[in-house]
Amino acid sequence: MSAEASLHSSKGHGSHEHEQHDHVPTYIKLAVVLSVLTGVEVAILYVALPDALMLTGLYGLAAVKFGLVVAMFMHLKYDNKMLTGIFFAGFTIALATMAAMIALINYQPSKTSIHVKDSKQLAALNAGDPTKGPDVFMAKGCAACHAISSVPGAVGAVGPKLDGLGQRAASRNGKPAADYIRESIENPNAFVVEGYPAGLMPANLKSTMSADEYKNLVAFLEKL
Amino acid sequence: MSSAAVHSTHHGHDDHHHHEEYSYTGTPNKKIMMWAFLASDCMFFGTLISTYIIYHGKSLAAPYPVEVLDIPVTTASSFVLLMSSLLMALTVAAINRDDLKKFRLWIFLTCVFGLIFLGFQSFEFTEFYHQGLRIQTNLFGSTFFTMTGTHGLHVALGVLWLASWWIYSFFGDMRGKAIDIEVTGLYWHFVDIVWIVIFTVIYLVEFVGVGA
Amino acid sequence: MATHTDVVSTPKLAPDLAEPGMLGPRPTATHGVWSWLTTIDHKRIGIMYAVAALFFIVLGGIEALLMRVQLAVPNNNFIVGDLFNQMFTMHGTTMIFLGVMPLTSAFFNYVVPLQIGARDVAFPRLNAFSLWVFIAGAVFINMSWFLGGAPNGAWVGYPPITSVQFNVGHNSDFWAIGLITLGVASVAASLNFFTTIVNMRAPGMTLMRMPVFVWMTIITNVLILLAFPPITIALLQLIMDRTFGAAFFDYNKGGMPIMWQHWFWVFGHPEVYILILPPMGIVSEILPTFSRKPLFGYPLIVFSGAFIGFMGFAVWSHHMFTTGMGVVAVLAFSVTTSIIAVPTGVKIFNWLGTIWGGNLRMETPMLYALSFIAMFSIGGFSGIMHSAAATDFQQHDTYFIVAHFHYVLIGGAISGLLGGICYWYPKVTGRILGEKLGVPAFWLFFFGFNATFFPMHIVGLNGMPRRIYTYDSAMGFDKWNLFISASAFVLAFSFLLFFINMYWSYKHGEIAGNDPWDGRTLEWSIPSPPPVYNFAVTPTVTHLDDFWHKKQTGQAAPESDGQLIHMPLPSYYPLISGVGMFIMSMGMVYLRDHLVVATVASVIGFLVLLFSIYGWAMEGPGAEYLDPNKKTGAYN
Repeated sequence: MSAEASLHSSKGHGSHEHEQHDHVPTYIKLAVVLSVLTGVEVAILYVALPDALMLTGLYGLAAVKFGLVVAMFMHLKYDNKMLTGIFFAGFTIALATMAAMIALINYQPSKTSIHVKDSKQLAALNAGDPTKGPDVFMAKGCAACHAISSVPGAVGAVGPKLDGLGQRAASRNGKPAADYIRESIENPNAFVVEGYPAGLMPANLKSTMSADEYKNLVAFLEKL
Repeated sequence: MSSAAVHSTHHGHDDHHHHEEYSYTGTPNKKIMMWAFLASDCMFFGTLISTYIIYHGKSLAAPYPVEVLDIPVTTASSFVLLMSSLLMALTVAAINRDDLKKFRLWIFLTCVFGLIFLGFQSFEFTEFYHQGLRIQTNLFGSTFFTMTGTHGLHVALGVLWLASWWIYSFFGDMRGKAIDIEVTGLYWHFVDIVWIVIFTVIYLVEFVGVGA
Repeated sequence: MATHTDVVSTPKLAPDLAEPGMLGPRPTATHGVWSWLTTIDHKRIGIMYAVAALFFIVLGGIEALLMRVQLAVPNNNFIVGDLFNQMFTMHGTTMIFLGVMPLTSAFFNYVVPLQIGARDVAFPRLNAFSLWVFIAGAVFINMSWFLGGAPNGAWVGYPPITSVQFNVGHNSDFWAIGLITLGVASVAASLNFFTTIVNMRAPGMTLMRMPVFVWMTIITNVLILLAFPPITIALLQLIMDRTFGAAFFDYNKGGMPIMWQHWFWVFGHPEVYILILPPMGIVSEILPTFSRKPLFGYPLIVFSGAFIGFMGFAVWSHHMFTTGMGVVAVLAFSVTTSIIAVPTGVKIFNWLGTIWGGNLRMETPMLYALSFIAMFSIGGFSGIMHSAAATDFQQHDTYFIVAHFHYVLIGGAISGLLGGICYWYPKVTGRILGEKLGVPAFWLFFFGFNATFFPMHIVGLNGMPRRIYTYDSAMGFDKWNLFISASAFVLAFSFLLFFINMYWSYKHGEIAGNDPWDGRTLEWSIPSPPPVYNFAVTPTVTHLDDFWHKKQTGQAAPESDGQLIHMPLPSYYPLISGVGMFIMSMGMVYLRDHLVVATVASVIGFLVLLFSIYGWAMEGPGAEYLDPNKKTGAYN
């Protein structure tokens, strides 16, 4: 019985030799194993291995050494299991606290948050690619009614010419240029340029485009 | 270093002359207390080690760890501490066999190995000091000296404890002291396993991707 | 050591005083001051803990009253600026570390060995060591009032407020070193009680037959063992920063003050459970006794206590919702904080289940226990409110928080502890704590407390911040603050009545007898006050609430067969260790300005400590053989 060995030691003198396990050979073998493991740990540093593999190896070996000393030298393996429970309860809470603390402090909000992005990141995510805008402009038939000098083939005269739209848009209604442009596509009658008839431009143009195409188109028009 | 328990001996249990401690679990009080203390010490060193990891790479001034750490020297000192654990285990085995001569030899050597480790540590501290690393220099200095210093203090107290037993064994009565030696040993082994972790976290991992 | 295997073949009456290699004589006083200073009897140590704790509760209370005088009217000049900071810092530190914790320790000491049927704790001298180191730390922290100013960085001591650049005096040094000293005392005591409860139970007292108070004690002690190391290291880092210019919390060197907050609360939140679990255990003893029913759902109460203890380590960051930890962290800690409310709720319903249909006796212990349930529930509910991070942003650092934790700590912890004093007073003194003064004292406490702290919810939500020393009348806080300050004096008066009652009852109270409440647990089976060895015959336990079961089934307590009882002897060394710790702490405070002198002082303190440890080890526990037919022996 495992508890007997420990009971014996509290009695000191006595005729209990029969209870004694001779651990000495085990201890010496263990010391050899531990030395070899330490050698391997250091040797790992001198071998060209991927970092992840090296880290796994180093932490793994440390854990093995730790476990061997606790189990054999500190003879938890042979002792009352309650002692193992006491020690590893503390050990586990300590390990979990360490992990949580390192994660909390070293992984800052910008890396871990779901909603809050900084404004530059947010803008980059929402921005379209203006260089792809002209293709969308031609493909979706905008050019039939609107002219843009920089786009070959865009010569329509039913609606206003869009050269310099970016600058004009910024001064209209006090909204950012992109918002005005989106409003004019999604809801054409919200603002009709003087001299052009209302109700002529279709209100469903956005639905003919993918989200990316739409973003690219707005980004292109904004730059005009 | 013992504060033995009250002998709340059972009546009707006729073993007064053995002075056997009553215990509910059959495991001696001192051993339970030492393991509870070691569980608590896990949290103690856990805090120091995670502080080191958190501040790793955040030092604003040189010298940085990779410039001062010396793997061969520390490997030697780690090996010494590891072997002192073997000697400690042999010490406990000797006292359990009532082999007082061997006990004195092994416990003396355990002390000596502990002192060699402390010698390595003071060599390392002086060396770092000469290379310009102080506790005030940067985060590495603060975390390194505080953690290894606290560990060194544990080793020093362990040496003092073991040396006290060694001296005591020449004039005191060692009968019934096996449990005390075993508990002292648990403490000593724990100091060793903490160093296993520190050796990995501070020294070895530092050179991953750099080469030693 | 006294454990020579061949000495005691026949028990002898005289104690074995001399040991080979002893460094000094053993104490011999059996009466008077020296007998108290050298005692290792858990009951006497418990009484000293209680007296010290009540003294410090009075001191912390006076600090609170001074602050309430300052805040009674707007733009007051009574205590302003740094002095006010010192007041609230010392009020918090005193109440938590020198008041409530030692008072719970008093109960651990006095009650736990009696409830588990033991003759003392596992390590009686270590127990005395804990007491004297606690006293040393407590006196040490309060010495700061006379040595340049008390700690002033709040009980949470956040750097950079406590960094040496912004806090140049020794105020925070006293705080940091004092808390480490108190931590040593707490950890030593916890190791002792953990071992005692694991190993010293009477035969037959399985884990699930332990009284709930014993369960809550062991859980509390595990929390202390795991929560004090992080704060010790954080304090060490703060001391390194302040004394040696280390970089831990110095932003200029890349240090992160936020890390202090994390480590502090890794300790700080379990600390809250360290304060509340023992009173929960006390209430779980009082309610069944005064309802004359078994505790409803004993296993659930035990397991929810253990679950609270475990979860206590997983909620710390809810104290830091406003620090910008990021959404994931805030969400995680919101969830764990909400979860921890569940076992607490389970306990409250179990207590209600215990009262339900019971034959209630409304004596003072019961009144305080009921007050505990109600007041703690209110504090718990406002706690759940804080688990929602969005609302917490509004309430953080306002008087709403002050109201919340005082409901938990006064309405909860202090209610329970005062109930415990009323409950076990007959066991300790042999006399019943008078009801005539006791009941009015309770009602004054109850109304005084609610009138003081309930309005703080309102001023808090109206925006009054914590830790300010004054406010403008235009802010609309005047009337409530005046009301709060007036009520605080009512609360203080109720404590005065309580103490008068304790004194009066000690002199003139009704003689209690062994079992005044028709109790359920083992401590009521022995005389009041108990003999030094507690149990003439170690009981054998067969049931939960074993004593009550034995009374129901008409089993008489076993008679002593006259066999002698082996008890350890008193010792000087625990007291000397306390002195050594005090000198060492004093030296460490001044390391910064007088390196040599301070180092010498620290080393002297350490040597005194070392001397006492050697003296302690060499003298051994000693032994005296007591005759159970006589009350005391020559040295015990």
